[in-house]
Amino acid sequence: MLLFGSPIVEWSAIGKVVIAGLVGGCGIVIVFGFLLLGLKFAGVGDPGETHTERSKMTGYTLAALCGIIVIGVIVLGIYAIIQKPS
Amino acid sequence: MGDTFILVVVVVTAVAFDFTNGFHDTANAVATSIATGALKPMVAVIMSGCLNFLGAFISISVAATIAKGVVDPSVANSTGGLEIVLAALTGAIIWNLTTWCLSIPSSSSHAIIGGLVGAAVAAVGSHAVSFHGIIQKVVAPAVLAVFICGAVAALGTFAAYAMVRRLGDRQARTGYRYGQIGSAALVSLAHGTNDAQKTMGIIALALISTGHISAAHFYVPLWVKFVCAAAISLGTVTGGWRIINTMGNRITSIESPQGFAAEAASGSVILASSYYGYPLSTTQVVSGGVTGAGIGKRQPVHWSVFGQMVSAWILTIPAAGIVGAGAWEIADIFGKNSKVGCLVIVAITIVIAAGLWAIAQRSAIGAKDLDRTNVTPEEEAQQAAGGDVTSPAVA
Repeated sequence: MLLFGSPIVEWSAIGKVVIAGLVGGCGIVIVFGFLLLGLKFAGVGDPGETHTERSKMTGYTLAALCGIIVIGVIVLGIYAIIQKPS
Repeated sequence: MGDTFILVVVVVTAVAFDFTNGFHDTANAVATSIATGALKPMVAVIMSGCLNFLGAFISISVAATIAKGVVDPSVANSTGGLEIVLAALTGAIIWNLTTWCLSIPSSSSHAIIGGLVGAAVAAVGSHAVSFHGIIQKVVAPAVLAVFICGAVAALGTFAAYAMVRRLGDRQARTGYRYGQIGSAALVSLAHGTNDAQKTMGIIALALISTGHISAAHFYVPLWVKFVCAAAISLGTVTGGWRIINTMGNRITSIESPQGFAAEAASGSVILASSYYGYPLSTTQVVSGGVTGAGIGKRQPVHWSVFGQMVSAWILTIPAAGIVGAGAWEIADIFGKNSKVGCLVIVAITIVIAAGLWAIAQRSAIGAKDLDRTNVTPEEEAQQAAGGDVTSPAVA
């Protein structure tokens, strides 16, 4: 749809906002869920249940990996905004 | 000399607007975290204030849109350019305080754009306004962003509850409460990035009109960034409890997984839009996120409250525009570049603001009314199951 010879909606930019929203919105929620799952495997906040060393190690690894992904996505997004030429 | 005096008045008024923006929009960043008890109200607003301050330094794309994309900068260069900016700020401040008084989360961004359009049309005529720029950079992204954020938050909520089933109720709710501290921080940062820039853009427009900076080689001086960052963060710390209550408790009942999903979606959409220079209404985006989070869990949404907010959104640009145009007409009675005219507008704004403040105090809502950190995850689940969508503060 054109107005004054140029599109009234910048679909390309809006499309990227949708992708960023999905990655940041849904992606972070899912990965954070796996972080919590990792902590559950590791027995964090669940002292009543017994956990094997292997389960604890897997849990902590999963939690750490997910934590890095969540923080990495946010830092990368902010870095991209800062680096954009004004 | 006259120009310098009026410029100082404009900058001070812009800073006052920025303060009301922070004050009005605190809810955007922290409402759901307070509603779920993830953060104590005072802790939430102090954290949000600090991150709003940092966020203001991240980008100037939105400031450029406000300074150059709404009103033709050559109009600002003409005689009376400063009065246009001052009248715009008047319209925005009065509309912001009116909606705050009514506890309606309206858009500070659209208020300033409406004020600018109204004042410019009254002063110069409709040719001064870039309607194409407004539709492309403001209206279209604003409408689409609400739906995008709502859809993303609904999907995020759905995903979060899929995880809740695997994690167990108590552990999941506790975990997402901690997560909400991070997601509230993200929205606060995003709010500072997008909203502080609007006032930077307005001050930049005033500086263009006095020849201190050039529209062709646009930049925002560091002192402008600092002043805007400080004003919005101070406004945020003051805490607009009335709107926090509406956003966190009255649209839908919010649990921590939903709050986390709504905030993550809102923060991402606002930051991505800031990258493209879209002066989004963070209020509308977060409201879309909260509503989407309600839909994602298939729980009741208070559509009457949402409808009230949408009405305010539709009214914001025309209402602020009418006040902005009126303010310009009042200033014009005293002639172009008149110090008296500017002072009269400022005086009228102060009187109206004081009146609205006094009215709001009759049904004041404070931090204590909203503190839910003592609510256990089990109680949170019970309240959500019972469809409790009002807090004691509004009962």
